[in-house]
Amino acid sequence: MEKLEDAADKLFNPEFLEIARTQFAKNSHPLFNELKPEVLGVGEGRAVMRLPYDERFVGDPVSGSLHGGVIATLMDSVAGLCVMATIKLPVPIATLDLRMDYLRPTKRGEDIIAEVECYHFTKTVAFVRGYARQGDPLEPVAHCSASFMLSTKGPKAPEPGPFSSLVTQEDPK
Amino acid sequence: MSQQFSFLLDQVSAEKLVSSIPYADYLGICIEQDINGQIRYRLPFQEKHIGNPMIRAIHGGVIAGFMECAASLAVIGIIAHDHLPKCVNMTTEYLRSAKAEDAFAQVAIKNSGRRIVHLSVHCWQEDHRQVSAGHYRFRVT
Repeated sequence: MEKLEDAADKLFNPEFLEIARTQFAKNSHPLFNELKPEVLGVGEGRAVMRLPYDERFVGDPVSGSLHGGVIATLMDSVAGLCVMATIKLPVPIATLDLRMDYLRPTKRGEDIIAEVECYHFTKTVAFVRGYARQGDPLEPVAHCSASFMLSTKGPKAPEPGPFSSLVTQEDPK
Repeated sequence: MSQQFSFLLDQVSAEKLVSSIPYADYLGICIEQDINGQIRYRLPFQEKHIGNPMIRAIHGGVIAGFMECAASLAVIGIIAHDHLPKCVNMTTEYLRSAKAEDAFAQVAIKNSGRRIVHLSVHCWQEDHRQVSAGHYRFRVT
């Protein structure tokens, strides 16, 4: 079977890839300086990123498997990149929600490759799903589905309507 | 690992517990008590948590990771087991962007079954400005 990295390189638009690689791997990004993720491919509707294995991100020192939080961080980043590449508009985006299913523990010493697709978007929201894998494409380690708000610096929320007093507001504490 | 919540009375063992999970240690999580004696988790702000340098917001994945660590520490707190609980799945809602300052989390255990523990995590920053809400399922067998 073809290696995931090679397949990704062929699949995607080289122009997008170049922009994403320079933008996403900028030295000025505090979090990515630590995680050192690498954009393997990005194109309309899809994005692939690799996260190098790092002992600091281990969740279970006995097995050496990575913590779910670092996989979530990778998925959130690659999903954001995927949305950008899909809507092709330079608007700010924000994660609305993120669901992760941890399918199997990750193996010690192996990089994670995350591949996501943006399967639908509207004027305000984009929907993304994808898998995180380690080597074997048939045995994903995690699945994610996320939704993103588009143009987060858009118009203000509407004024409360005439029946707004009937709506229970959450106690802001 | 059989720490009960009473470990909080002993700050040394709380620190030891956090440092036994490399990722929790990397994030720099602290376990502390609020003024009502309730356990809360703190994510001290660090530059490396910034996910959006333009608006200086903490990365959503870091917040999710922090909440997951808080949930797993809470599971360890109630259940005496010789291995770490495994997160089965989770959902995180992002209510507001997390600013470049300390974040706090409190964990509510919804149900603690023989095999699965359901938890909900509330994450906020200064002035009880809630930034995120999460639901976590852990397997404890």
